[in-house]
Amino acid sequence: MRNTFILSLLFLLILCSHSAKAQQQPNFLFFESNMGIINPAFTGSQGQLLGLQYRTAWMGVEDAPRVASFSYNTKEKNNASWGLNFTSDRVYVENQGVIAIDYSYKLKLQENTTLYLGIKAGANYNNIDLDKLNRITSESNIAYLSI
Amino acid sequence: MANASQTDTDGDGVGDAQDEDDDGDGVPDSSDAFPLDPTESSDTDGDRVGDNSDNDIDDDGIINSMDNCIYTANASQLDTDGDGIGNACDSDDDGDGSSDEEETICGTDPLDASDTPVDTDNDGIPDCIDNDKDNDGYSDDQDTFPLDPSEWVDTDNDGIGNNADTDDDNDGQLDEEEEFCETDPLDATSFSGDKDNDGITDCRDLDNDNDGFSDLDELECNSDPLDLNDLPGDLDGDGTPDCKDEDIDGDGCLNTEDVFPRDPSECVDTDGDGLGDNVDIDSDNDGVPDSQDAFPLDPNESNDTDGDGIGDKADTDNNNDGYDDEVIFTSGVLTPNSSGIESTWKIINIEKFPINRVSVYDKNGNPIFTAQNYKNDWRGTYKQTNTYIPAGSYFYVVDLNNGEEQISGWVYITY
Repeated sequence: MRNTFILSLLFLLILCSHSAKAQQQPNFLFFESNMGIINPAFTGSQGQLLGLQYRTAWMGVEDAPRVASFSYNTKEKNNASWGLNFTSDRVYVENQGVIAIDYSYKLKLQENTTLYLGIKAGANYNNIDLDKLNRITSESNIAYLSI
Repeated sequence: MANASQTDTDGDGVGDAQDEDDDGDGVPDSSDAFPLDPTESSDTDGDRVGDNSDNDIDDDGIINSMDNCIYTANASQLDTDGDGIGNACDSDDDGDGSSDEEETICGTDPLDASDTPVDTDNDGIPDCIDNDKDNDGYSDDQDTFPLDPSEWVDTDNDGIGNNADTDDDNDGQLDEEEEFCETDPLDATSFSGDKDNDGITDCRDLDNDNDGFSDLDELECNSDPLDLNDLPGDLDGDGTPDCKDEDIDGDGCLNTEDVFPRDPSECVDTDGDGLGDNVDIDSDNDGVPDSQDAFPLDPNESNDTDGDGIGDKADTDNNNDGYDDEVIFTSGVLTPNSSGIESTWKIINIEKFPINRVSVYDKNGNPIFTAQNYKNDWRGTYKQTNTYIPAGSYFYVVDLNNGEEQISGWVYITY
């Protein structure tokens, strides 16, 4: 079980390197409680799992970040298991999220060593609600065209 | 009635003794020359031969069939007009259309076709016996012009019939004018005069004393409309008397709005100090002379810093930047690569609070940017590296240090 965790963590670090410049993504907020959101190899390793999570920051502040996720995975069957997860992250005018399907396969390497192989397929969405922007002018702004 | 003979000539059952027409020929016995002969009833020439069987009824020697006047003896057979009817029984011997009787009365020759009586109106009645010779409906004894069908009366005896006369009573005023003025056109003593001799009949003349003010105005303004020397007051000489003039002094400022209705040089007294604005050097009495007052008639305003027409005191936007000077407007968007107002992060009117402090945090609460006495110049960069922060939503806190609550919110940055 210890070895399984190390391999999963390695996989995670590779993923992280692509988004180092962005603000912290919501995925990581729930990583500890459901590593399957990031790492598909995790799927099914804990048996059948249903997770619902919601987090809001900065209580009392309007338009503050609100993060929600839903995840489910089947238990292992013939060394394979399936999972589905959805994450939503909203702040101010931004509304983004990910919906993904996970698949993992368990390889028993030795008596004490098990390798989980995972693959994830999903879609991101990112919506900016320009109408909600608190502007101080009604002038047109070319910067909005690229959003 | 005794009639022993019982004679009944016509066998009508009525004995002759009682029968008024013994022979039953339709002619009563009293006028029947042959009361007992049903075939005869008259005997014109008295020769005892009934006319019906007499071949020369008038016994003039001309048998009936040749006689141009069968019932009148005319052996000469004279027939002046040759119309086949002998003069003896021709009512118009000369055939000129006028009967012998009329010609005799009118003194023309009944045997001369060229000598006929005059018939002015051609009504078939010769003038000598026609009592309406011109046939105008007025009998000659009542017709001043008995031979003129278009005239019959001449009231003023000027020889021109009333119909053609434009002044029937010859009083000098035409009939038409008299009708307009409702005087009697047939009465020389009835006419409308012209008191002021201006050529306009009194009944039409709106200014009967010709003093320039209408009679109506003069009546309303209590001057004598018939007295040239009695005039209503007219301060501005515009022809409208003061009592009816909505602008008595003629300064273009109606009486209802004119504080000085009889002073053509003044209309308004803005500050109510008794001096009209035109002579008052400080019309609104705000202590700033009109010459230096941007609002010389507004006691509340004397300056207009931004020249927008709204005095500084009433102007909520004295720098004319489009934003209320008393309100802080914080932009919720920053687009550093654009060229407009949103190219830097704007907090409108922040300069009024020079000891302000602004802070920007990322959504995890990490400080990104802070400034004191913010100059509206942040372009979304880190202070240390001068590189752009990632696009996204950031939380700001603006502390004006004026004792009021801090202003906070979100600003979305995109490039």
